[in-house]
Amino acid sequence: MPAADGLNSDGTSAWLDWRPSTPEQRTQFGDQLVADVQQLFDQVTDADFSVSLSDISNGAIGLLDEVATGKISGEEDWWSHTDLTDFAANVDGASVAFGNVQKLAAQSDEGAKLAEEIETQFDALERVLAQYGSIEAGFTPYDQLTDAQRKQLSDAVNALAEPLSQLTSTVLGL
Amino acid sequence: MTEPDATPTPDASFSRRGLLGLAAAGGIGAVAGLAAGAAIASAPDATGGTPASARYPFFGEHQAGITTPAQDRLHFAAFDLAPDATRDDLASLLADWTEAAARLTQGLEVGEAGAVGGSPYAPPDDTGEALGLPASGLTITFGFGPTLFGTADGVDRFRLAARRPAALEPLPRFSGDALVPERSGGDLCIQACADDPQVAVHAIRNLSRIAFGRAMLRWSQLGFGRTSSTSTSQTTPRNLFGFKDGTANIKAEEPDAVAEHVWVSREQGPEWLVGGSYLVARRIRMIIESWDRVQLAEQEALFGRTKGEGGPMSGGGEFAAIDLAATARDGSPVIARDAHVRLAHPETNGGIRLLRRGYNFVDGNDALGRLDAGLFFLSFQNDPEHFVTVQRSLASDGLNEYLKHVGSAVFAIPPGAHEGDSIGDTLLN
Repeated sequence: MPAADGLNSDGTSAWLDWRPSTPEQRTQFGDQLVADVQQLFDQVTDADFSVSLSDISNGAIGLLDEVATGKISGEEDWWSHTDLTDFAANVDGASVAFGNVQKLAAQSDEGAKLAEEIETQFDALERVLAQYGSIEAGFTPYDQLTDAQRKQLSDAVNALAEPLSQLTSTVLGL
Repeated sequence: MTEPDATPTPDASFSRRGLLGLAAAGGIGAVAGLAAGAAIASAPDATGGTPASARYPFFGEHQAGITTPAQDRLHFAAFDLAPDATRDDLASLLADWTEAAARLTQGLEVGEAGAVGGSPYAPPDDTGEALGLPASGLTITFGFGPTLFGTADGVDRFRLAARRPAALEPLPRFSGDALVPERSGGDLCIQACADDPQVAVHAIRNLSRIAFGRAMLRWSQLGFGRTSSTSTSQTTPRNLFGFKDGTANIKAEEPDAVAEHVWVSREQGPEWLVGGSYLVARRIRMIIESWDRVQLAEQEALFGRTKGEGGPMSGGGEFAAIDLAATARDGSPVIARDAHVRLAHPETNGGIRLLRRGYNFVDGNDALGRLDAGLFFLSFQNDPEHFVTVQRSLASDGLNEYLKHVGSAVFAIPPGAHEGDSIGDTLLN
């Protein structure tokens, strides 16, 4: 996505630059964020906008990979500890993307088995996440989770990510 | 690795010696009741190891990786079943693991599509790091922990409580134990041994991947140097104390001793475990920095063997019988009362012998700048109580000052599977 700098500035500036932002800088980041979201909205609602099947299934895979590499370790939101909110948002996004191609994937017997397994594992992961809150009500700060609780989340992510990684090939039938 | 082939033939990397070994294995494979591992040991190389091209059959009366001549490298892994796993999940996992292990041990990729032969839109079947490597003597051995038959709080997750062998209990606490729960126990275990570390790691990595959603890795251990010989064709290796270890180990060439001490007999039972064994795993940290400051004479006295040749302090070469009764002129025992060989000796333990198959490990260092080094002790015996007896005898071992047991596990090792069956069929069906 071009010109999306504003979307990430809040988090990354804290990493790259230890000085707190000035009110002017924050105003600037905020303005940029609004502009980026507007640009994203315009692009996806444009009459010419299209996505391929593999964009969708790869999107689902990518969203879950982000969880497995960045969020499960707690390193992405080192300062705010809001990892579980991001985590849940990614899982929601992956679930929506999967829902869009689920019927298509399930056309073959093998595909139907895969889709069923993915659905089961989405449910299992959502149950583990629900122990710690919801996107609406907020989640337990990630630094308050024990290693055993983090491992339980990680195990559920792996259990979903493994069948999900087969989705694109199954949807495309290639 | 080579492509799947109904009748595997040696590839170009096979040595002449390896070819002879395979021929021998093929011929003897048909003889029922003979340990497959022992069969191929007819092709040792000059250093007493096995050629990189050695291939051991996966299927057979007993699982491979027990009397098989100890390979140079180890990757051991313990797994827990997923919290919501069912008995069907366990059965399907063991079937999938069996199929994969049968291929991997023959030097094949984990699935037919392999690392590069599948869909470009799917992740490769095989992770690929063993492409081009020979089987390297890989053996894969599976085991079942006590928790598979019922959790600590009595939950019978897989309807197996009634089939639990009476002898399969968590090990008691021993003096010197400093066990870390995260390095101990497990519902299932896999011992992967090979002469190439990459091949052993490749096996555990791909088997872990197959398990995702059904079972997850609990702990794992790499070992880099075998500390025991399990065949008379092998030279006796050294542990990280610098001493030859396992001189008096049970060898594959002693079928009577193997039958008496290693395999679970029909009389011992239970029926599903006949032809199997029990595996004890202990991660024993050695405080090697302190050990290295001990004078040579004291080191030898603590072991009861010479450091050079490894002969007993009572006299003779490495394989000389140990004379525990020998006394010095002043009447004191030549082999000290707290010497390791005395306390571990069958004579001291009512004739008990263990088949030891341990490995050296160094996992970096601790916060004090000491090497996190030691012995990953593995022993096979037909009753875990045999290990318990020896370990209790070792309570007064002079070496304990330099040892700390940090990990512990016990597993029932089911018998081997016949082609077309899966490991664990005797338990589940």
